[in-house]
Amino acid sequence: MNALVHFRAVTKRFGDDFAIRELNLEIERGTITALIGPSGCGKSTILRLIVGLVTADSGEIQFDGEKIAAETIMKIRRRLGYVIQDGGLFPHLTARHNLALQPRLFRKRRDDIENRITELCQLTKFPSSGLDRYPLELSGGQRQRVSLMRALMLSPELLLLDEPFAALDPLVRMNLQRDLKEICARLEQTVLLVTHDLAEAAFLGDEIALMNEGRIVQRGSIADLRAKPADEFVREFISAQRGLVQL
Amino acid sequence: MNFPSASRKGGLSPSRRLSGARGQTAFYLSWRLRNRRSLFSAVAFLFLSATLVLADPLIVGSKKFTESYVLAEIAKRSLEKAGIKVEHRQGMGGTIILWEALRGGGIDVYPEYTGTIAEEVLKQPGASIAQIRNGLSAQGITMTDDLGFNNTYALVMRRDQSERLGLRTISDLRAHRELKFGLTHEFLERRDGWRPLSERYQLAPAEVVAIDHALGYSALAKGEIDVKDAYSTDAKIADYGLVTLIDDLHFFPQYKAVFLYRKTLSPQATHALNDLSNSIDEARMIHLNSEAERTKNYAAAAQQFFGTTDSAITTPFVSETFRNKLLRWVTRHLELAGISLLLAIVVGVPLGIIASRGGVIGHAILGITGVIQTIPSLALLALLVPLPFFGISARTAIVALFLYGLLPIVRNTATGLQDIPRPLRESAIALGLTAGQRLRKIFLPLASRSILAGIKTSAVINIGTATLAALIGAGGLGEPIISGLNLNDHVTILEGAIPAALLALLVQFFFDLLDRVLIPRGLRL
Repeated sequence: MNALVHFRAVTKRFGDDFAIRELNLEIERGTITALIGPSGCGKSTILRLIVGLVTADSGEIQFDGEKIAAETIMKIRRRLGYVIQDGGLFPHLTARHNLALQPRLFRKRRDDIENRITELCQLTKFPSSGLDRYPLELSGGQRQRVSLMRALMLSPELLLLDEPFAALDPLVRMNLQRDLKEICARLEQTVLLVTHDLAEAAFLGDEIALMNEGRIVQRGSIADLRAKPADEFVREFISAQRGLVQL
Repeated sequence: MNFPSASRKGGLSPSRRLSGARGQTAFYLSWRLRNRRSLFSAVAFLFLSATLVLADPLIVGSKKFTESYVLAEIAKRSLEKAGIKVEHRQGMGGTIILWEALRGGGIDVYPEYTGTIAEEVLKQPGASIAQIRNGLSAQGITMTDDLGFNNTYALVMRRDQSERLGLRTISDLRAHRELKFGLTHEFLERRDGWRPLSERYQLAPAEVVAIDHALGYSALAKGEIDVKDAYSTDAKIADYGLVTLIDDLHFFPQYKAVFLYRKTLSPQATHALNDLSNSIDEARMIHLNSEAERTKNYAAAAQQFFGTTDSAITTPFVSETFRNKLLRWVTRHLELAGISLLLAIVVGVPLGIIASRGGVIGHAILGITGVIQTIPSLALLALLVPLPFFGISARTAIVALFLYGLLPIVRNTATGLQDIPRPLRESAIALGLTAGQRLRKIFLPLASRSILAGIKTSAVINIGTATLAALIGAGGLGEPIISGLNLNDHVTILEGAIPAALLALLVQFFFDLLDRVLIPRGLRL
């Protein structure tokens, strides 16, 4: 009833291709939903529609009961955190300035900003000695930690993660996945995660939404998907990644 | 003494506005340093300042050849003897530029030839002296009686070659199609120049090349060309041992030297100029020309005309030291290049931001600034000079340089912004920053390297192009380069060319340092 995000029959086309078609989706508060599916299935488009980087051709999207539109999007963006594959940190600013940029422009007090940075450093296990480095001076894993901190600076109601660990090596990725799970649990953070990795979806997600060709084919726990696949596509997708799931 | 010229009647005529330009630009620069107001008010001030009226000297113009310089110096001296303050804008681009400047009030006096006035200015070939006076009068211009000599066009050859081939008249050339003609650009295009001449004499040489007047003499001496156009009082005809071919069909009109001046000139000034009529014969003029070229000093040659016994000269001739001259040229050069660059930045960066968004407007901006770049600089100057606001002034040079400086800045700003990777662009949007905040805090700093590279290119181009400002009497390091070209004197050319090259290197070096200050460290890793 009280879903944080609500998609109602949303369609988005890029030229003649459907990115998502007639999609309905609800994200409950305090849950972690993992959107998974083959590339081009429209999972990233869902995040981009919420952030307002693209606009829907038809249907309606609501955030906390408010319709996402040109007039409301600026306010809504401040209630979101968004992390992308390579972090999207601004190379001309140090880690600290990347973190302070948004709160400073929204006129937060300087010590509040500093306190929040210290707090998040502890939470994300980022060494504070790295705060005065530029993005290019940080490792890939450290960059993603800063990126996550930047998304959490204003305590967003919804954290959007678009393949955040895809570019990292396995060991770094595993550490980050563990830490992220812990962070989200501690913050009771509502998360919408996009991934193509079933193991990651199973490990992090309370719920998995499996997508194909712009539609959600099946939604449920990894056990549900494995035990009662909705169709042939779900069965194939699960079995193709089974080796990894058994980890 | 305050000279009662046109300023009394028309305090805002172009000449009055531009005459103070040199002092005002310097004042403007120091004003900029003291008050850090917005650039826009600075620009507004620049244009407003041009309308202020300061003490006005009378301005004498000259074309870029020896005789014109010497005659202008003679006029200057004669006016100064009458107690009038005079400034000589020397070596301006050509008939059209001087005529338009005179008509517009950019200059007050300049030496001209009756044939040129009839053919080129009034477009009445073969007009009588009375007809010429009427035609000029209708445009607010008066002319003195002729100065005493006829400097007509002539075709000249090496003496040994003309004797070997037995050539005495222009008609004799008809039988020698193999002779190579090297003609000035002006002669090739004139209504009384090469085309009608070749028709009248039925000349069809195998090869005709265009060459600068002074350079043409050394080409002729070296045998690279065989026939060239000349002025009949050119000192070089004697110096190089050349012969003048007889104009047996009487094609060339009379080119009696006169001074043209504005009707609004004071009676004293008019009197001082008319005193010079019938005072210089051909032999005298050739002698003065050759003195000027030998000593590389037009003012000293003009001094000779008045003789050494004349003690009435109010400002005796003192040779300016090279250091002072160099300082004057370099300061002026930096003023021209600096102010135009500043304007190009103020206008170019916003245009680049608009252009980066693409669309019809974006393409139009890039297209128009690109087209401006292809206009030859002399042509651009000639187009600007007749416009009421510009005329012969530093302002015109600055506007031309500003226009040339635009393209690199606009294009680099646009591409620098377009090249920002999409993830960064979208991250900035997702953070909820407004368009203005994104531009200021993220996009412009990310594009800073490209924008600065564009500004650097503009600065270096401007230093080079600013040498052309001398063509419209705006000074700078082009002054020695142009008089050097005119005198075919390499040392004088290098006096301007070497400092200009050093200045360009210095500017390059300065901007390399600026990169370190202005490009964020995170982008230089």
